[in-house]
Amino acid sequence: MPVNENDFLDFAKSLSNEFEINRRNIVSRAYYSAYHASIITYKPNQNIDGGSHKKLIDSLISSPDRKDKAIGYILDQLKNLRVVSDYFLDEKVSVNDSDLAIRQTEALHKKLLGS
Amino acid sequence: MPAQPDSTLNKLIERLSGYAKDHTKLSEFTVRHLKNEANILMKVNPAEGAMIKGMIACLEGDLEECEKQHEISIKLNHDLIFVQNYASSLSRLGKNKYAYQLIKQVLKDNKNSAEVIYICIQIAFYAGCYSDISNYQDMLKRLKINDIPDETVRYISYANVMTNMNFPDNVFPQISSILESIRLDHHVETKQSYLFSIEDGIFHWEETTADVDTTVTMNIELAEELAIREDLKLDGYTIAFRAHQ
Repeated sequence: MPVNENDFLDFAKSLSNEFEINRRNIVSRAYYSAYHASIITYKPNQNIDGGSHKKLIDSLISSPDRKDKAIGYILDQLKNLRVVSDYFLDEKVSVNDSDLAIRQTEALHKKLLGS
Repeated sequence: MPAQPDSTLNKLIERLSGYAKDHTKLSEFTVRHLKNEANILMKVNPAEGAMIKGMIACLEGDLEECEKQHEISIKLNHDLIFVQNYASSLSRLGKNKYAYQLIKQVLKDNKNSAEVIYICIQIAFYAGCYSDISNYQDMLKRLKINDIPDETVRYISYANVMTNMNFPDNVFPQISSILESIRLDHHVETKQSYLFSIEDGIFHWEETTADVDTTVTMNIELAEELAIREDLKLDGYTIAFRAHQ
């Protein structure tokens, strides 16, 4: 495999957070790392409406397992941060926002390893 | 005895409210100075002194002391200003459910006070009682207020978005309770709420005074709490804490 979920996170961490465009990319790459890490562990329910990301998140949130549900909610939070970073150009994305995306993704990776 | 305009009390209230609004971190010197002022006031009017002490404790983030002093003040004097400031202090420290009960008491006898309605709207918002806000909006319309503060307009507009999601009435107050409990556990205050309409629904991002690491912990706790709440169906609604900006 040319790249894996950790490469997305490593790339996010390699970017300088000095510039807003980098911070937006950090948030976006961190989310994709979280997404790819999750999809290795979980198979989304294909009967759920929406794209692959929504399918995965909704499958997790509707799971009877509380740990899976929590992972779904964490992933959903990160997804929405990514949407703000990529589509809401008038909303400032701060250093704390990009740092949070990295730290929360790291926390999600740890949770996935424990699941 | 009700407070008189331009009294020492009013000047102190104005000053403390300004600090609270701006989330100013007070220096030790300022806190000492304010406490001295409160002690002087205490000798003249214990209810006013206790209220000021409660407001100072609020600025220090000391919920226990804040509640203790404000409780003393409203036991000594149940005039509206004492209850109103208690509600505002509690709301600032994130205890919105009780703050909302208090401010509703104040509103009952102050239906023509735009200022009280503004506070009521803000606290109702953070208590998750979005459907109540349209009633307060109607009250403002009846008062023919033209220059509603931007902040209040934002709360009204956000509340409309939330109510349009058509969740059962008890969902948002329950979510607010979860947020409140997490915030209180971490001793952080709400700074601002942001709402984004996204493709799949609404993203509610709540900025607090927490740093990044605390916010990550809070977000995970929030996710874990939502995961055990089978009764809360949040289709198309995502909530997350945002670290301080």
